[in-house]
Amino acid sequence: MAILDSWTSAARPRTTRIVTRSSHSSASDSEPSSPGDSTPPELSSPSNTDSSLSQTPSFHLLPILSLDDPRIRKIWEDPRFDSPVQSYCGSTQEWNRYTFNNTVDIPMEECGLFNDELLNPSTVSLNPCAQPFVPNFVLSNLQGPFVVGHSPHFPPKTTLPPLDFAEGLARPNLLTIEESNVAYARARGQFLPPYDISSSNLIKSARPLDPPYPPGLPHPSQKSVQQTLQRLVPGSARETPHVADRYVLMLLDALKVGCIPDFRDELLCSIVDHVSQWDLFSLRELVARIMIASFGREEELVHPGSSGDYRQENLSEEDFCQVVLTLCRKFLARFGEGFVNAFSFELREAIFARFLFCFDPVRGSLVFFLFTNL
Amino acid sequence: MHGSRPSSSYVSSAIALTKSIVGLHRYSFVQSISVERCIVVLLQDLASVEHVQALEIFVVGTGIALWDPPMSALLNPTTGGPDVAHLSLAQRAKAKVQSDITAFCSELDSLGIKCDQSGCPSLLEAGESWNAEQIRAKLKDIADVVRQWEVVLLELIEAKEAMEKESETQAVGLEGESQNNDATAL
Repeated sequence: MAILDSWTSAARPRTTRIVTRSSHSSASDSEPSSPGDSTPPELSSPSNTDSSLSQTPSFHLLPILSLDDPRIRKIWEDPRFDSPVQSYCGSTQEWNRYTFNNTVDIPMEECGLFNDELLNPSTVSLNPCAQPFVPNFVLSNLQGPFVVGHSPHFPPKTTLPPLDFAEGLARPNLLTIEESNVAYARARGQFLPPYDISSSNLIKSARPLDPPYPPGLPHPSQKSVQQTLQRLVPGSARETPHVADRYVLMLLDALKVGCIPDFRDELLCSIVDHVSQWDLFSLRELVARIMIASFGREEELVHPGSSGDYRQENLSEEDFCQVVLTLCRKFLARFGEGFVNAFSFELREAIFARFLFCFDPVRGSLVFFLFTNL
Repeated sequence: MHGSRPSSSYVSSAIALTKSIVGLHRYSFVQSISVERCIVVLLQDLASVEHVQALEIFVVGTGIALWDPPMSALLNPTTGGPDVAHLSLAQRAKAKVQSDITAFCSELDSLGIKCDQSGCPSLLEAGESWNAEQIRAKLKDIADVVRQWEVVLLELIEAKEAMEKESETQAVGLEGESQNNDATAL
């Protein structure tokens, strides 16, 4: 405890005095504290304060310079000091150059690394639930603007997670992104705050990309990627409605009981024309909308009336079959047999998945109600 | 999560889904084997009145077409076991129909026997629960309908077999006449 008090009392001054050996004193002047220790003695031991140094007659002590000294001012006139001090803390070489090669009084609090609580351990109260300490330069690197070229602060493109095409939907794997961040932080010996998927740091995670364009200029492709990522975030305010939501009203009219066949044919033809480019993704969207318009949402089971049930009431199975068969004919005439087979496969899959959800005693949901409530 | 009672609209949509599958089967959009799998799912546990209703919709709605064995199954030598390997296609079809319907009806009978006295509850709040007697009566009705179709289906297969034999004899007769005509011409 006494050692701790002596150390804290010695380190209590709010400026650290750093002595260089480059100008007047050579490396041979000062003996290292141990044969294998390359650290200068004035920095390796906390006992090497001003008082201890002044009491050593053989030690060539440089005159202590204040910040107002012209030589110090000349150092700080370097334009690199215009940026925040924290940025220099991010590079170890930069830090060493301004600490070991010059005699400079650097205010500790300006580095953002020390404060009163750290200098006085008796006031430190550890909170086990506290967020891990994250240096400012780490966050500024992650949230900062794009950097031209390969920056050592950003991971290369090869560390970015691959897109997950398992379901035909090009969306990034959240878990992979999180792991890549952790691996990146570990590689740099830094720590990142816990990754919160609900707040979706997808964009932050995508920032380390090195865009091939100068900062400040618009880049449509990069912008579209950002918008797509933002749209994929659940509950995002920028989430735009699907194209399928625009033709769902026509689908509902086509499913109405007693709809005239010619009118239904025109409605379904308009739906087919509404989508500019049909692919597997849009086909699945159509199938999902058919299922919702015909049989409602599955969430209705858990939270009745919560999801805005807009299914066709009093659905006739004959009208449903006519809608399906008409769509098959439209797709066959326009895109060929392969596309019809894909549509049929997707619709059958959706129908039987819904059937299992409703009636399967093992995987279904209605039976859970029976086991728990009756 | 699933402890709340499902809404009436959801239950009605589930029944509508069953009817739609039957309708798609009528247009050959859904194959018979898919309907059979749905029936198997229902037969695992008739947990509610709606399960029994869905089973009735499937069996009654699909009709004879559900039990008509596809030609691919008849041509497969492993179908029906080694006992029917030496039979003709019509005889194989009859054997398969009889075995399928017998297995289905025995399954319904066993379900009716296993049904406890509490019966089946309804998923609808306003729906009435069925007691064991009502469930057995409903299952018996379904089995009777299927047995009636069995008779009709066997008659159809016999009629088709007879037509094929008749066409074969006519073809043989025409071939014999043509050979005689050729002989007289020579």
